[in-house]
Amino acid sequence: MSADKRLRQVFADVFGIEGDSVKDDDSPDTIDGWDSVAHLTLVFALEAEFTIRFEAQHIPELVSFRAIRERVTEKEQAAG
Amino acid sequence: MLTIPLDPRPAEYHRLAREIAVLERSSLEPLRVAMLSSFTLDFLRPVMIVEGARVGFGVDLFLGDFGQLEQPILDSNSTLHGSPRDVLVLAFQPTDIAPGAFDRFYDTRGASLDTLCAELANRLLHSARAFRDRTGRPVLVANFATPATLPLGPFDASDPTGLTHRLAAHNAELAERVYTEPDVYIWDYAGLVREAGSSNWSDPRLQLLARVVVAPESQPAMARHLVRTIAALRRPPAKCLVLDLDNTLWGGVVGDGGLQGLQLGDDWPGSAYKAFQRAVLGLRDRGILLALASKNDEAVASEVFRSHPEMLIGWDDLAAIRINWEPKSINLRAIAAELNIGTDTLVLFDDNPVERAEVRAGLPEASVIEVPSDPTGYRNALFASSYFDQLGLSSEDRDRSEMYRVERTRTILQQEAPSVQDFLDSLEMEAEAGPAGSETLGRIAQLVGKTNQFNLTTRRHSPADLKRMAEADDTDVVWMRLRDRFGDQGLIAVGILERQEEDAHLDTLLMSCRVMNRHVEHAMISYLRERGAAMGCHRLIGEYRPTAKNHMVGDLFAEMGFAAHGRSDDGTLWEISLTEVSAWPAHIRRIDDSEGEPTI
Repeated sequence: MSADKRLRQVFADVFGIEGDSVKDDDSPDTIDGWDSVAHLTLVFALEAEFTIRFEAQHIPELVSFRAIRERVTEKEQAAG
Repeated sequence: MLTIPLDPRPAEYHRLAREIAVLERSSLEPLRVAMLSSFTLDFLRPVMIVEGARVGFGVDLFLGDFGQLEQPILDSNSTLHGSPRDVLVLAFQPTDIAPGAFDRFYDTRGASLDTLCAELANRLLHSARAFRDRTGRPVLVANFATPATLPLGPFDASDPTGLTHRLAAHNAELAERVYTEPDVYIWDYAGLVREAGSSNWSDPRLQLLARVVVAPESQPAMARHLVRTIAALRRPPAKCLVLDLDNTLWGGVVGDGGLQGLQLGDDWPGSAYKAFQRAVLGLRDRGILLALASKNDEAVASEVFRSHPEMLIGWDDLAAIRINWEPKSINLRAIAAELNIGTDTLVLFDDNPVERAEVRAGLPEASVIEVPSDPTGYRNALFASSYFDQLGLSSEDRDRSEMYRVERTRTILQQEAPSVQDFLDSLEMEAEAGPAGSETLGRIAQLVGKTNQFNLTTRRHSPADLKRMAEADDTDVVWMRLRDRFGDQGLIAVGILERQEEDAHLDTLLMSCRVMNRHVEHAMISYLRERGAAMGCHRLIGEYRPTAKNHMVGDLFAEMGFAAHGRSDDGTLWEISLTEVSAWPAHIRRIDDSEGEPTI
């Protein structure tokens, strides 16, 4: 599965939505249930899925699908 | 049926929790759990739903605002009391109340930690009592976990009054206080953190960002542990472990290779079987009965018990033995009948998957442990199974195996006695009876909760209700203990009287099956008639409510001289006058009729 597909699958699992329907600009304002609790759930689900670890300071910044994809890509590349 | 993977990933928990809510709800046993905690637990919700469903519970989790303890319990308008709860869990940790409690331990050489833990324990006990008394529901109190990072690091345990040992002392004190409190139990959070590994328990990012103490990867372990603990509140423990012989208690087939060919000893591969036997005896030590069901020749198999130097389990440790070529399900039925216990209280441990499948099909109410193919895993498979889980161990539990062994001797005596009366006389029975008090309520609650056969009304009063009835003026909760020449049988009968004008109604009358056929019920009825008369009543009204399991007492009241008194909603009523003195059976010596507590 491509990184994009896996990313969408995590969104689908956590929020109970169609993975393919997630858009780049989607954020807590556009996705139902993306509150502060779900945000941390999402972050740690991503860490488990991609075997990466975000620094604490970046966690509150991951508030759109685009921002998440960029940070995950960066982390994955850093891990080689 | 939804398949739940062994180890779901965090995101999967969310998907599964939603699917369970839609698909599985109706097939699950509803379990409404309320938690009050000193730390954020919102993340636990989907994990609890999934781990609950795995063992058959439809979990509905209520979480209080973190940090709140007394307010939601004492305020009758709080959301905690907004709907019914089956159990309340209190999870409060010292460091959440005073962040420096552990890291600044040496500021006061532990004095401030002692004060903090003592005060927290007071608050927890007070709150647990308040919730229990108000709702009649049980409360679990989490004990205090030792942190991964200790003030003295790897040398913390070297200080006899350091944090490690102080926390252990506070946990012991908490357990002591909870032990005597009906319907309040310890949730071993400290043990859970230790087992899961305290260094991975918390994630400092989550802790400092959002006060989340339990890291996401620790949450499945926490949910499983909590669900298992709550399940022990709801499901009575199994009573008997039924064991196979070849390739279970020893390696090899004794019928083929004889004693010399068996693997059993201190070196591999025999060490795996010896380790398993030790674990089995550990269960016996705490009152679980052991039985054998093996397809073998009895003479050949018993020879291993008698002559193999490495055998740990003795022939005398076994409460029932079925060595023959019958199907195992039939032998399990026979074992249950011999021991006077339900077939649903049996647990089979058998290396052979075909036998396990036969028992699952032929005796579906019995439990079957999934045994790994590698014998080095037997011991852990036994420990991991939750069938024998028990929240509190009474002294009767510890002595039960011994009592069943004595019972076998007693049966032999009975066969030798010239008449029933001679046999009863030879037992030299002594009975003691009295009203329930704090020392006896625990055992009384246990008997009320689990007695099926000699139980006239099968009313499952909660420990809190029993305590209330024991204290109330118009109800009387009484017990009887029995001793005989073989030893103390413990507290074996319970009666509850309820005054209704001039009648004393027998709300509950039950007796432990192990003293059946000894006319102890005559003594119990006689004592109850005395108590009823002492309440100022003129008649004792007995009730028999038939169930699938209590046919044996269907004629009890008629046999005891009661006259028919019509029907109740779901049974028959019986009456007997209290104005004449009732006869105490001659073969049972009455040693005390004090108002106080028995000597235990």
